[in-house]
Amino acid sequence: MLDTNTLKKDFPILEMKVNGKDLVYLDNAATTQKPEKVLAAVDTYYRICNANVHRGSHTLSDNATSLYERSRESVAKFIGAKPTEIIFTRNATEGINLVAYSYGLATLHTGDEILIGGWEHHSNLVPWQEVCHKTGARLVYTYPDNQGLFDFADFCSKLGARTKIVAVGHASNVLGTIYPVAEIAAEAKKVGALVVVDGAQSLPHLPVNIKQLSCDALAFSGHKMLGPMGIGVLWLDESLQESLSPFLTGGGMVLEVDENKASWEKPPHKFEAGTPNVSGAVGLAAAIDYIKTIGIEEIRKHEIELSSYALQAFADLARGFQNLRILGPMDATKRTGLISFHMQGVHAHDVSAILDQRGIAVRSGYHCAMPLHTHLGIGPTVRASWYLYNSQADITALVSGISDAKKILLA
Amino acid sequence: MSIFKSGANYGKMVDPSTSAEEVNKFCGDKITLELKIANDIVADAKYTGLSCAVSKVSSSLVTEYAKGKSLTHLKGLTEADIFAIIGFDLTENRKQCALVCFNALKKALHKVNNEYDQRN
Repeated sequence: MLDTNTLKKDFPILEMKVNGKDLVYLDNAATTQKPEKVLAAVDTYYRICNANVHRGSHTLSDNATSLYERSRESVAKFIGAKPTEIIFTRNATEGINLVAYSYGLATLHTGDEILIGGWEHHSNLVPWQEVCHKTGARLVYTYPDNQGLFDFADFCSKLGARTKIVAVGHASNVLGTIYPVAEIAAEAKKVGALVVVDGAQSLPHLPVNIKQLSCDALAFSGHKMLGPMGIGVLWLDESLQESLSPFLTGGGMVLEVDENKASWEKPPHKFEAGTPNVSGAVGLAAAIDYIKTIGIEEIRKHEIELSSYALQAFADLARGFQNLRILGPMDATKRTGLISFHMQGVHAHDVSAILDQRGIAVRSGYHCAMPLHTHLGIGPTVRASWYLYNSQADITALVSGISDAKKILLA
Repeated sequence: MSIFKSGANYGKMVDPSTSAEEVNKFCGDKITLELKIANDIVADAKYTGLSCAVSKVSSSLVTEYAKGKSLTHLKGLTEADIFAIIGFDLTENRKQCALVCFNALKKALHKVNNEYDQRN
């Protein structure tokens, strides 16, 4: 396992006390904390590098442009892509909207189908709903099996000549399940469908190489992988970039403009309208450097060990408490570092409020995945999610807090 | 805790005068409020739906408060009044949970108003 005592020292916020208790931060699927190196990179950018990029002819602008473009290279390297394929966005949601509007809206017609996972976060669901409303296309869902794993037979039965887009989350933010994107993409290609992947929950936790995924687009967020909020990435296959119209237009993405029309810059700039979030990109590059120093494989191993420990602790807890339902597969290697659970007769908010009193930060609610909860026939759930700085002691504190919540709320 | 456990005014009503559904903006939980109105006075108020302790307690307290009050009085209530009725401190996010029943009440009163306007 990783040396979490040392790692925690890199994250100033983890030294905080919350409600008089040491903070146990287990809401990493919502957002991760930032190491000193990321904070320093953002701070330094604004202190000595700040200028607008690409257009300025002065030294500061030149330096800022170099930093911004170096950050793009760093992101590209991290996922095995070319820098020109990296589009900086605000977040994964914006990346998916870009594909939905620039590709979906332009190509779909009545009768066409978009096949999406039943485990999707609203970010990879609502944009497609909107495209369907505007084009007359239909949204088709493939739900996971009763363990939360990919149902290959169900997926194949729903994939057909009408399927024009397959949009799937690489990892579920509720079930934790890692879905076989490469296999999904291989099947989708047989019917000529475009494959869009929401990597918000996989990029921070698993080694991801774009060549192995064989998808057409991959969106993810910087803040879920130790980077700042407000910076995201859309990787878009080079062949697709040329044919797509820009999603947003304005300054920075044009070559020439006259009174009635404009011509576009080359990708990726064609998709980055307006002044970009340069400090965010610089912060994300610093986050990637930090992750690389630890090693993404080491992070994955650490999370599997923590998940195994947590799954065992939850299974023990469930033995004395029939009303506790753990969502997702019980095999830690098939999931990322999170567990969502439902307690019959107890509201998720009340559990998280009791945990908060003990300094334990978890998420409760529908986690932006309401159709999945409806499909599972349950109300809101509690989700605890860990990352490289979490330890077994954090999981022990969580399980003991849940046990206390049960005593208080069901007494 | 005792109000939470007792769940005062939780349940369905026979033949309500009006009802309204409201979603908790914080999490998506939904409650349904039913009112029995006689001579512009709320004679009975009940609620159903999935809710957390804060939402449940505030719904019990708001429905209890509404009973016997005139529609005009209830229409004049503000969020600050509701927090005073509830009487305990809430974090910023959980304030939404406390206001679900109040928002449903505003919707129900609006519906009554519209129905009255249509009749006249």
